[in-house]
Amino acid sequence: MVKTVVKQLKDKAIEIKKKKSFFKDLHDNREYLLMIVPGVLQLILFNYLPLFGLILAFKTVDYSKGFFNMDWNGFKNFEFLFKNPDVFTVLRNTLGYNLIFIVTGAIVPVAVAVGLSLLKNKTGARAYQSFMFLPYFLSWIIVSYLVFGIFDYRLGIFNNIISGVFGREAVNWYQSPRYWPTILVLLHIWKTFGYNSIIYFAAIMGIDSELYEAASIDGAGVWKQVLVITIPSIKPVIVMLAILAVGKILNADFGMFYNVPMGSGALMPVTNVLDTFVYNALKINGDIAMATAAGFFQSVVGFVLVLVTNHIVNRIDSAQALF
Amino acid sequence: MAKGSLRINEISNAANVLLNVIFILLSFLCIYPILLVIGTSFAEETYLNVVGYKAFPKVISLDAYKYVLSNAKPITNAYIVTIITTLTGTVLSTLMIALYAYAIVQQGFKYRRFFTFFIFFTMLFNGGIVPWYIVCTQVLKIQNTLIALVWPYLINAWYVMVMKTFYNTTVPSAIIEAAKIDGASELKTFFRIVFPIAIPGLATIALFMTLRYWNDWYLPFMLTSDPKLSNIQMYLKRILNNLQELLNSSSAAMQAGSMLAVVPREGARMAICALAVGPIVLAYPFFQRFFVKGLTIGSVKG
Amino acid sequence: MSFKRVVSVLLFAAMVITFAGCGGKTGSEKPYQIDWYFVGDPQLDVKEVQDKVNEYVKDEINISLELHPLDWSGIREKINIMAAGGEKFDITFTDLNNYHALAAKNAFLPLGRLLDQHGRGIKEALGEHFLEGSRIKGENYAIPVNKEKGHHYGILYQADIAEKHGLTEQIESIKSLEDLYPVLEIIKEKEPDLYPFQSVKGCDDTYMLDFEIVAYPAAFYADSKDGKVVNFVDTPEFLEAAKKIRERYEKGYLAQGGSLNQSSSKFFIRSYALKPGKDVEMSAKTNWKQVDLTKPRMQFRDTMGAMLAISKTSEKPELVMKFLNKAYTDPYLINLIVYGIEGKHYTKIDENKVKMVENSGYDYSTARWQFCNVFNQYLLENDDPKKNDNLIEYNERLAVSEYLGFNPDTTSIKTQMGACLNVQAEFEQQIADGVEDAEVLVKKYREKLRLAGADDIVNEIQRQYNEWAGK
Repeated sequence: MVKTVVKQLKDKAIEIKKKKSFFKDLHDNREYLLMIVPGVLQLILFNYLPLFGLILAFKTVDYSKGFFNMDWNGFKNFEFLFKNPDVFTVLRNTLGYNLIFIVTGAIVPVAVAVGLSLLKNKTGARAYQSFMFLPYFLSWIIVSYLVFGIFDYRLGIFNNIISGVFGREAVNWYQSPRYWPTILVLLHIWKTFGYNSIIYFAAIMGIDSELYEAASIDGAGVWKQVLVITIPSIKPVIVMLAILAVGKILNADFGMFYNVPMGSGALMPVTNVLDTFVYNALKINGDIAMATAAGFFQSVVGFVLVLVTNHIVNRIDSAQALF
Repeated sequence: MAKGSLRINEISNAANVLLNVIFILLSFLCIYPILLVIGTSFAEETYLNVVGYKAFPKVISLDAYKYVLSNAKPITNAYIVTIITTLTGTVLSTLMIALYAYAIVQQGFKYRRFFTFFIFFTMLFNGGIVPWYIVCTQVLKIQNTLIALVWPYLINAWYVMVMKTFYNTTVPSAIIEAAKIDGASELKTFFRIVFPIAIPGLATIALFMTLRYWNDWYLPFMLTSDPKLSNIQMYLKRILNNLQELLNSSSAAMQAGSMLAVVPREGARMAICALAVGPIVLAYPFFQRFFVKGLTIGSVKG
Repeated sequence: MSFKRVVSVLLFAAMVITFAGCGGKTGSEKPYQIDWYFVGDPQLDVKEVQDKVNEYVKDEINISLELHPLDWSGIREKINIMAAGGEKFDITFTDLNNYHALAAKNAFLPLGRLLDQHGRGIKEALGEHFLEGSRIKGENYAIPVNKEKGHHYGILYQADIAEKHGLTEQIESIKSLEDLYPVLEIIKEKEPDLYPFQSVKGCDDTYMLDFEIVAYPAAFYADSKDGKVVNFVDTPEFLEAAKKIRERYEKGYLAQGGSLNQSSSKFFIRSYALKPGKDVEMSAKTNWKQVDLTKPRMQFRDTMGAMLAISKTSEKPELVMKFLNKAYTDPYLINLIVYGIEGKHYTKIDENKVKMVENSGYDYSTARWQFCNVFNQYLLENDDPKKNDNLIEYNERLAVSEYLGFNPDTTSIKTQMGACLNVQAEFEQQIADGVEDAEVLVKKYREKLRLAGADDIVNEIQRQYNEWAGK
C-alpha cells in the first residue's frame, strides 16, 4: 500500500523535476551532489587528469621535447604487440586463463560463502573464514618458492611421493608445460577464494531474514532456501563481479605468471601472457610509449567487451546491468 | 525478533559434519603454507639446503630475523607510518566510497547514471604511471609528505561498484522512502537508517581498504624519497627486491658481488613475509564481528 | 551533535586531505642542491655526512648534497618515470640495463663539453678507451665508475669442500671445463646434497665464447676486427657450447630438472664472470675460490657496467660536473660519502684499511662500486691488501675491443627486439640448464628468433656499423 503511494509520488516528482532548469536540478540534487563531491574530485585529480598521458601511445619518446611536443608516430608503438611469433600463444593464454578465472571466481567463492552461512557451529565458521583468507596475504614471490618446494625435481614433496611411495619415475615438473595450466588455475583459486568469498558472505549476511522465515513457513527446506532465496539474492553481486572481470580480460595477473614458473623457459608456451610479454619486450629499452600503447590496447578491448556484456545482461534482466 | 529460536535455515547434523570436514580440509590447505613460511624463517640455512622447506624444522636459527631486524629504528618507524596511513586511509576511503555508492543507487538522484559511468570508466582506462606521477608531483606537489601515502587511494571504483550492489541487494528502498516522508534529510537517512543495515557491506569495504593500505609499497616507492616516510612494506620490499634482482640478472650480480654476498638467505625471505603479514592477519577477526546476520529491518520498522 | 554536523566535519576532513598537499615548498637557498640517486639502503646519519661533505667542498663548490638511495627496481623504473615527468635531479647511477634507453631518449645530458671544461680530473683517471665505450654518436651521456675495466670467465668453487676431498690442486690446474670432469665425478659420489656444477645463465659456455652482443642477438665475434655482425645463436660455436652443457647434464653434473632459482651454495662449482678478487668479494657466507679460464677483455659492456649520468633536468650541470670531478679525484671526499665519518662510522686498521662500526648509522661500503673512483677508496677489513694493485695490473693487460664507441640507435627495430627478448626469456635458461637435447633445442631457438625478426636486427646493426666505421 505505502509502497505504491510512494512510487506514485516519486514518479510525479520526477516528472515535475524534468521541467525545471539545470540549476534547479543542481539545487534539488544538492545533497546527493554533496555526497559524491569528495569522490568526484578524487577521480578527476588521480584518474581523469592523467588521461592526457594516453597520447603517449602514439608518440616517439623524447624527454627533451616535453610531453606534448614529442613527434607523432601513428600506430608504431602498437606493432610489437602483434608482429611477433608469440602473438597467438600470448593472446590465447591471456584470454583462456582469464575466462577460466571468471568462471571459477563465480562458482568457488559463492559455494564457500553459502557453505559457511549454513554451518551450525558459528565459531567454526569464523575460524574457517580466517584460515581461508590467509593465502591472500602471501605475495606471489613467496608462493612461487612454496610451489617450488612442492614440484622441485629432487626435494619436492610430489616427487618424493611419486618415487618414494609409488616407486615410479620422478616427474620433471618445471620442464613439462602440460601440467601447468591445471596447476596455475588451482593456485589462482587457492589464493583468491577466501578473499572473494568475503564479498559473497557479507552479501548473504545482508539478506533480510524475514525472507527465510517466510520460506520456512511455506515449508521450504534448507537447500530449497539456498536455491530460491540465497542465490537469487546475491545474483546481482555475482553478475556485477563477472562483468567487471570481463573488462579486465586482457590484463593477466602479472605476479603469478611472472613468478610462479621460476623463469623456466620450457613453461613459457603456457605461461606467457600479455603482461609478461610486455615486461620481457620492454625490460631493456623501457619505452614508456610502448608500455602505454599496450595498456591502451588492453583498456579498449576490455571496454568494448564490457559494453557488449552489459548490453546483453540489460536485454535479459535490466535490473542486473551495470548502467 | 528472536534469532535461532525459529530454527530457520538450519541443515541436518549429517550435512553439518560433512561441511565441517570440507572446511577443515580447505583450512588446512590454507594454513599449511603459512606454517611452511614461518617454519622456514626459523630454519638453519645449511639444513634448509638439504631438506627443503619444513613447517617444523629440526635445526633452528634466528639468523634470518637478526638480518632483517638488524636496524630496529627504521623498522619501528616504518610500522608507525603504516599504522597511521592505514587507519586514516581506511576511515576516509570507506566513508568516501560509502557516500558515493549511496548517491548513485538513489532513484531520486538525477545524475546517477552519469556518475556511475564516470567512476566505472576509471576502472578500465588510465593514462599510465608517468602522467599520474606528474599530477602528483607537479600539480599537487604531495611528494615526500604523509598525505601522499593516503590520498591517491581514497576512492576505488571497484569497491564503489561492490558497495553499490550491496545497497541494491540489502537496503530496501521502501525504508528509505519512508524515512524521507518523515522529513529526514538524505544525509540523516544515510547515517541513521542505511548505515546500520549496510554494516556487513561497509565492513567488507573497510577490511579491503585496510589491506590495501597495509599491503601498499607503491605510494612510498613512487612519491617519497625520505626514509622516514618509508612504510613497512616498502622497507621489506627493498630487501626482497635487491635479493630478487641479484638472483635474476647476472649483469647486476656481476657488478654488485659484494652486495650479493651479504644478501639474506631463503630464510630471510620467509622472515620478511612473516613480518609483513603477521600483524595484519589480526585485522580479519576484527572485521568479522560485523558480518552478523539479522541486523535488519525489523528494528527500523518497529 | 546533529548528524549534519558530524557529516560536515567528516566531509571537511576529506577535503582538507584533498587540498592540504597543494601548498608545497618553494624558494631556493644559496647552495645548489645536488640530488644523487643510486642503489643502496637508507642510512640514519645521512644528514650528518651530507653536512660534512657540503662543509668540506664549500670553498670550491657551494652545494648541498642530497643522497637518494633506491632499491634495484627504483633505479630501473623510477628514474625512467622521473625523466619522463621532467623532474629535477642531478646525478643518477645507470648501467647497461637502462643507459641506452635513457640516453637515446635524451634523459641525460651530453657530457663532452662539460668534461673538457670541468672534468679534466675524471678524464685523466679513466683514460681514453674507457670513456670511448659508452659514447653514443660520439657523445658521452654518462661517466663510468673507475674500477675494473674488463671481464673474463672462469669458475667459482667451494674451497672448503674441495679441501675436504683433496681436490684443490686438481681444480686450480684446469685449463678448460672438461678438465673438471674427474673432480665433478668425485663430488657427485661423495656429496649427494650438492649439485656438482652450475652453468649460470649469462655465464655459461655459450657466453664464455665472449660474443660482443650489440643488440640481442646481433653480435661481433670476440677479438674480431672485420666488423661483421652475426646472430650469435646462429653460429656453429654456439651449438657446440650448448652441446657441452648438455653433455654435463647427461653425466649428472648439473641439477636434474633445471637449476632455476636455487641458492648458489647448493652448487659445488659455478661458471661465472670474473675479475681479480671476485672470489673474496663473494665469500661473505660461502668460502669461494676462483679459477680463471678465458682471456681478459674490455668490451663495451665493461665500459657501461656502472656509470654516473647527469640529468637533463639538472639546473646547474657545470656545478655538478665540478663536484663529480672532485669526487673522482679527492680521496677524502669519496671516502666520506662511502664510509661516513672516521671514528663514528668506521675505524682505521692501517693506512689504507678500514673496519666498519656495526649499526653505526652510516655504511655504503656494499655500494662502493657505484661511487666514482674505487682506487681512491679505503679497502675493507676482508679485502685483499693488493686488490687495487691487482686491478690496475688487470686493466693494463685487457684485450681492448675494436668496436668501443659503436652504440647503435635501436628505435627502428624496437618491435623485433621486443619479440626477440621474449624468445631469449624462453630459451636462455633452458640452454644453461641442459635438460633438453641441445641439437633440438638450439634448432627451435634459432627458428623462433628468425620468426621474431632477428635478421632485421642483424642487418640494421650491420648497416649502422658500416656507417659508423666509415666515419
